[in-house]
Amino acid sequence: MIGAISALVVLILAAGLQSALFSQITLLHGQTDLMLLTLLAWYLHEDAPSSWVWALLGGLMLGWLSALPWWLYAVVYSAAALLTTYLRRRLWRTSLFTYLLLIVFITPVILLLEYGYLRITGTPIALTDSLRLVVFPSLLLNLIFALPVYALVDEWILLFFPQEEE
Amino acid sequence: MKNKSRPSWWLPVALLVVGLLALSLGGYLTPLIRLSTKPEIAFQAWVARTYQALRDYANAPKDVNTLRAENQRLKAEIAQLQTQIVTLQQQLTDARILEALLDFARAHPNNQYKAAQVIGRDPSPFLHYIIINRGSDDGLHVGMPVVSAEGLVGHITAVIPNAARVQLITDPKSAVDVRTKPSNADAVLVGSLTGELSLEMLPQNAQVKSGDLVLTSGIGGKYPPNILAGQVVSVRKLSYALFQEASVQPVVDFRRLQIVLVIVNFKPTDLTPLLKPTEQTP
Repeated sequence: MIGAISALVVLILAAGLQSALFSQITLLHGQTDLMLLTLLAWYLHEDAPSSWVWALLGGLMLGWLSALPWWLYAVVYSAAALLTTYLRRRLWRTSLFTYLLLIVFITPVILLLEYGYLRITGTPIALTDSLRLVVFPSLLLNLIFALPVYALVDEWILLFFPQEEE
Repeated sequence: MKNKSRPSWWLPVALLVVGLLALSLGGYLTPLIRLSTKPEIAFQAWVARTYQALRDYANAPKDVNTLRAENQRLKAEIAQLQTQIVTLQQQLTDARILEALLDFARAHPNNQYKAAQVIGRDPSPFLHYIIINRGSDDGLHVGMPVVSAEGLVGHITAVIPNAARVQLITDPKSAVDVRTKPSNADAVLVGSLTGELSLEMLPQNAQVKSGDLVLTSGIGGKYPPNILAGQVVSVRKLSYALFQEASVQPVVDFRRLQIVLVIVNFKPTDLTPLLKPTEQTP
């Protein structure tokens, strides 16, 4: 129960901070995806519960805040969570390197999906502008904020899901 | 009787005294006085400082614990005062914004406004939306125009009981019908990914030039007329193109938006039924 509440608190904090604070910290026009960083750090952690519900909830929270359709973030974050969980089970030991690798792979995918949706619905945005002004700067910002987020999530999980001594 | 005569030295002394007084009153002795009093004043200052230090030492609390407690109390007081300063500075900023908004409201007396605070932005970097802390409980509806003290901000696209989402005019999907002043040309103001504004559908024969103001025209029924949106920066006119294009500098600094006004008595016209293709009769 405490674990579920703590996970919910993390998601609410991530959504609130992303909308109120991190959306204003921009590089060109790229932004940090705090929710993605938090979810990846959460799902990579060996002591954290790996239910996909948290990714779905995080996606729904951002979908509620965003003008993009509510299901878009829910779908992409759930897919990211599934991929991360799969990797965690396949790898003998996950590390910070895995985390950074996942960010490098998933960030452009999510942003390009957003771009694709907007293009299909008639928003006039050029692909080159999107890559140059949004995708690559966002990736760089995500990598910059990756370490502190990883450390904070790690501390949080150790606090609420203490490892049992063998 | 022996004739008493005055002493013979009084006259030179009197003359000397009078002379010194005259010199002193004339200010000629000031450097001399300064020079002669300097050591005296320095000595007096040293004595006073030493006395004050000794008095402070004698009166100071001897107990280290008392000193520590007092130090803590002073630190707490400083922290409290600093918090108060931050709060007051924030209140001052808010008051200035509200004053500017009040000026705007006075300049447009026909409109009724509801002030709202910007509490968030769209998490997607492709979109230019803000979230405000007023919603349907405050009488807000989808489509209501949003302005700031400087000019046009956007319009409401989604409402929940205590919050609303506002599409900024800089959003790539935003299109506002505008009119330039004084050239009186109708055009469409569109946003972009970078937040830059430009005029489209500007007729080739329009005499628009740099510095012209861009105001809402009221056409389309989405915004009330004559709200300032920006100023023309440059015009591109190509002889083979159907329309001219112009870059527009927005009057609102969208990165620093804190408080906005929602025009609550404006009813936007829904043109959707007119835009639907007409059903063909067999």
